[in-house]
Amino acid sequence: MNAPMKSRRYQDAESEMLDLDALFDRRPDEGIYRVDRSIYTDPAILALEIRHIFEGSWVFICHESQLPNPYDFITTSIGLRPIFVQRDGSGQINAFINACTHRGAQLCRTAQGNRKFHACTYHGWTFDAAGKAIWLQRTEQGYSESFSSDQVALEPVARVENYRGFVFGSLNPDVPSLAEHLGGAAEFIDMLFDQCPEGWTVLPGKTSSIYHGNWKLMLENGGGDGLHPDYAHKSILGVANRKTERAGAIQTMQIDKMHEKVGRQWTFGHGHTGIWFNFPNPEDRPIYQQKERLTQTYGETRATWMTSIFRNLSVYPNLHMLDQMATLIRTFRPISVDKTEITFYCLAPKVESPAERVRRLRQYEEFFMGSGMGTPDDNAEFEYCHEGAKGASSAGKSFISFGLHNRIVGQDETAKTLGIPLESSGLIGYEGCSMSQFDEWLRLMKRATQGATS
Amino acid sequence: MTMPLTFEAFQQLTGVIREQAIALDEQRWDDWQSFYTDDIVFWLPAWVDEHTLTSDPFNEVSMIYFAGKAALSDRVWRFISGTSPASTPLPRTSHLIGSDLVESFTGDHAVVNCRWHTTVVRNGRTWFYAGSCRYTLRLEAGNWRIAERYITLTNDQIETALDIYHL
Ligand SMILES: [Fe+2]
Repeated sequence: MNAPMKSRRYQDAESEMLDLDALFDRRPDEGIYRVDRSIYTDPAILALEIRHIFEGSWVFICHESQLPNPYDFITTSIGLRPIFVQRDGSGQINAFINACTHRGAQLCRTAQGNRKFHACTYHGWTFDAAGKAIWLQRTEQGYSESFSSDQVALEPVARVENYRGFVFGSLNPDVPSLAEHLGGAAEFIDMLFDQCPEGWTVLPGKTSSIYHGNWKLMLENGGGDGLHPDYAHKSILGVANRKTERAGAIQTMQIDKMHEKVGRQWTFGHGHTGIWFNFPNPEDRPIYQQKERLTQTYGETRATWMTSIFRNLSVYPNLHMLDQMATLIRTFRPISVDKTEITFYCLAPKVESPAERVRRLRQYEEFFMGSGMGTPDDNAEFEYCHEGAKGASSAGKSFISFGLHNRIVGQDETAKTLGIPLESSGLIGYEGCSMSQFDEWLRLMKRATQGATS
Repeated sequence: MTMPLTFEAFQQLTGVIREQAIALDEQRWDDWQSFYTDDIVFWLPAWVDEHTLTSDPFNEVSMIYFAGKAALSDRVWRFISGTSPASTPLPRTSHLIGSDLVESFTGDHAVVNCRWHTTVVRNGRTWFYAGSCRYTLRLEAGNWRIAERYITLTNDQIETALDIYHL
């Protein structure tokens, strides 16, 4: 009786061998959520994540300001797959697997550039910005009459959509629209986007950092770990205090004792999560200078949300859009099960005063990037977590249960007032954010075996 | 106005650069800070593409930019506080400085260019950071002090952390 085995695809067999549900002890109503730490260390799990999460759903690929002109391109990746993203002559942004269809040589070989045609230097095959093969070597001699260059067009990223400057791609064509995928998470993007009528740009100077740990450690941290700053970031909170006594210093945004401020952690569904709280020193943010103008346009409540509230948005699986201690994009991808690459982009209004620009830059550099005084401490903790996870046993499940028993399913009062649809919410430190991420993880990972499509 | 450089002055200038690097390796943080002027400008630009660095720290991203010794002391205070997981324990470092070239010398002001390579060992891993550095030095009360450090980092994909003890 091995006929059914034969017809089953390899990946289905692989996922069935792993009992994914058994990785979780999910009893939120009893205030209990535990995760088996092999989820961070098992290479078989990473292989499934690459296929079903990074290649199976929407992922963030770039900000549109990285492609200001027609025919600008950048090279990046979706999971482990190299891609290039290019604006075509009509202004539309497309993305392709960055490999010549002849023998697979990488086609775009620089971080960025501008060209109408991509000629492979290996054998000369040439493609246009729509991915069409427009020149091949000795076609009449080498290929039959039935051959058409359409057979060797570049492999496109099946879906590319832009939500207010944030460009996402999906290698899987069978996904809902980006707006549907983002759901309520889009509100946090709107609160950023609406701050400047001239639009946003990433500032020159892209940086990246490697940590030796699983990619989900970064995801969970930025997805709403409101429990770590007073501990992991104690040293920069100390620097922030030192600076308050220094006249003329560009101040650090105060984030100590978040839980004593007005704030919540939210889950939006599809694994998207957020954290927000009232800054005690909003006047130290560059955008605060715009508060009056924003109040006139959007009203007091929305202007306060834009200028004075720490907002952390995590868009599953690889984007953190932070409008808090600084304003930035943090995107990340697995290199291997125990190695992750994080890339940072400082976001700025295209038009802002020199004083605001400098304040923006210094606040960004002080905390973020591998050279800042915040990011390295997170990276180090991810590495210590990964090292600790190697000690996982059946009893060694992480206890990620803070604020579950008193969570609110659906909208809380604040979300109702703002009209933001929520999946759930909890107090600062609410670890239902991680649970929500893993719920999406399970949904995507099990999809292949269950035959569902979205 | 450039003046002829004596061997003694050359030794003093490069000596300051070498000694501050040794102070980092030996974790003598007060000694290290004493080599810098109160108005020190410390700048490590980011890369834009394969061969372009950011050139305007007031409009573009730097990996590190600060002016004034207080900001330098903040950095030191943080990483020796015992509360920075990335710096507790601190790595072992080994700074190597070479290709020193005195670009200009006026008697109380000098610019020295060099290359640097730091081997880093921490938690069972070994890696390195390397690049160039342009030091602007000033004679203060008979001692050469570093007034500006412009650093480039050739391998800019940062392994976990990059702090001033790596540079
Ligand atoms: Fe953090």
